[in-house]
Amino acid sequence: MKRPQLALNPIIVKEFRSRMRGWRAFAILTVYLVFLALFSYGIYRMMLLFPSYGTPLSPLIGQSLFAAIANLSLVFVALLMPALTATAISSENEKLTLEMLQATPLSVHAILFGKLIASAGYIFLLIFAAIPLASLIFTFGGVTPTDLLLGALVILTTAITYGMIGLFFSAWRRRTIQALVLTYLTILLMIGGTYVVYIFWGVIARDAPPRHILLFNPFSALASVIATQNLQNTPMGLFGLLAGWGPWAFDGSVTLTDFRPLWHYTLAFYLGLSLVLYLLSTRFVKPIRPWRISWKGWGLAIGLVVLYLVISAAMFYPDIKAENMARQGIMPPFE
Amino acid sequence: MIKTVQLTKKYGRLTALDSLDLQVEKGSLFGFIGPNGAGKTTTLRLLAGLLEPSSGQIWFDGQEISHDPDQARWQIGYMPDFFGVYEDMKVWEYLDFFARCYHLSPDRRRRVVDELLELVDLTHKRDAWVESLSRGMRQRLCLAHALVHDPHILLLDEPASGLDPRARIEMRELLKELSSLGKTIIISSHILTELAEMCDHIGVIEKGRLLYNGPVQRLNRQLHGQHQIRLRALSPDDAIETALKSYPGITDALPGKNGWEIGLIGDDDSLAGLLTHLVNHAVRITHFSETTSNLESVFMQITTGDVE
Repeated sequence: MKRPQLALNPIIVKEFRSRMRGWRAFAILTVYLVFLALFSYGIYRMMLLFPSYGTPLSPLIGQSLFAAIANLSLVFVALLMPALTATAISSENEKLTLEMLQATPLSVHAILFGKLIASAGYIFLLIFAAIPLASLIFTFGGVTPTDLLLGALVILTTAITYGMIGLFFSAWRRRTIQALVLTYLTILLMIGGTYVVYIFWGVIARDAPPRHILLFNPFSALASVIATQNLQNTPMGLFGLLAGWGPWAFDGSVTLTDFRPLWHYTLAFYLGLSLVLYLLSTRFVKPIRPWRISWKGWGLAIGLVVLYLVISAAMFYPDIKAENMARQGIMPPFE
Repeated sequence: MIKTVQLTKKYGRLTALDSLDLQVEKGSLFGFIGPNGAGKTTTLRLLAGLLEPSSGQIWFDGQEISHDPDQARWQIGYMPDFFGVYEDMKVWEYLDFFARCYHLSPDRRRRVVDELLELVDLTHKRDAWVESLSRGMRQRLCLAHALVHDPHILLLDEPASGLDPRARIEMRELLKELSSLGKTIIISSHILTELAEMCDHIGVIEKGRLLYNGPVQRLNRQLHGQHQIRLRALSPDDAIETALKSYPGITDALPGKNGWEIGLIGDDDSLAGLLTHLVNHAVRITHFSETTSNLESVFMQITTGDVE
């Protein structure tokens, strides 16, 4: 009964066997890549029409292509990842196979982790398959490999977090329809809801709202990777707005790189959210005594949460404070 | 040996299982009988570690597992009453998946999958899709999945439900074979005749309470106070009747389509004596057995039948 080391998670093997067989997985991949290529070509043709006012056009094309490919990938992730994970546990329950899994020595961690990685693995395949296309960006310039890596980091983190949201609702509700509705509703709130709050805040306060409202939104996080410098008179100005820089993105009153970009906050929040949802999901998949947790378990959970809050506060609080002061014109940032 | 002590399961105010004291000997084929909703599935799910008892204890081979269900999972193979299969997998992949769940090494996995397919007579379907299997084949595949880690305890919840007569017989033979391999098997069913032919011990449950636990024959005797014997012979009926009438303890003897139904008051010596007596009276016997065919009526007598 000795557990062999480095054994492949059975759930991952099973899911990949099922998912990668037949035409569907490859059809989705093909459609995605064809769409991405056509979309990129459309952006390229459009950029050729853009008045450059004497600035070199090539880097602008590179930046626009990067923004287009990254955002389209994020749309795919936001739409596809929850569909894969929100059905993961509930479909086992509906197909009457969950009990058979629970009767084996497979741990709840193996079940959840297997489901998450199997779903994320397919999404990662989509993203990595787009790399050759994305590498065309470098022929135009204007985008550094670091930008590309950061963009991929935001997209992959979003994939994991949205996958975890789907998995959580799937484990909690045990009904696919309910899990799908709740998952997409949550994601809609995280994306659309934050923009609504942001805009209404600005209208009511008659001032630029704090950009940290947008930290829940992966598109804003991605925009903050793209919009790293003042962007007046370029099509990238849109991403300055999406990233919540407000007038700062255009008026040149501050240097944007002096402030912590939004994706730092987003990644930290997504990490914490995924962790909490994962821990809660383990309770819902455990067949018996789900909420009977040992003192050691409680200690570990509370310790993790406290550690997370302390590190987050230490990392972010001084920056937020300095930014607010700069916003109010009390002192210039980082003198 | 499987033993439960005052095992109780409550769902709010509803008591699904009430102070169950069950004892199943090692290597026996135990039939768990009761009407729908009597508590059979609850008991099996408790034994499988899928439910937590409200009170009471569960012991496997002298070790209490109520508080360590994870340990018990290595010892049991569980086949639920309503089970699903992964239809988008091949038959061998299905077993391979569960073998991986029990951390079997690749070599052992390959061997186990082949052996189990042979045991449940699905070798010819090795590369078939699970969705293409008939109901009977799926039942056998599900039984095979419960055997991948060679457990010494098998918990089978209504394993023959929904099967046609041929598939039922095949399943029965398979379970007898597993029992002969020394496995302790608990089978639940609400169909008595299904269990009577293969189980050596039965437990009758109703409304969460165990009404009887012991050998099938003893139940028969307890209720009727006598042995029920079936006799078939080549001799004429009047010769048999004469021989039977002259043996003490015979309460009734009626010829029927399937032979004589005989009631006998007495112990096992008396039963053996009857056989000798008939042979001495030149009755040419082709069949002599204690019958359990009237188990349905026994069941009706000991259960009130108002659970359903």
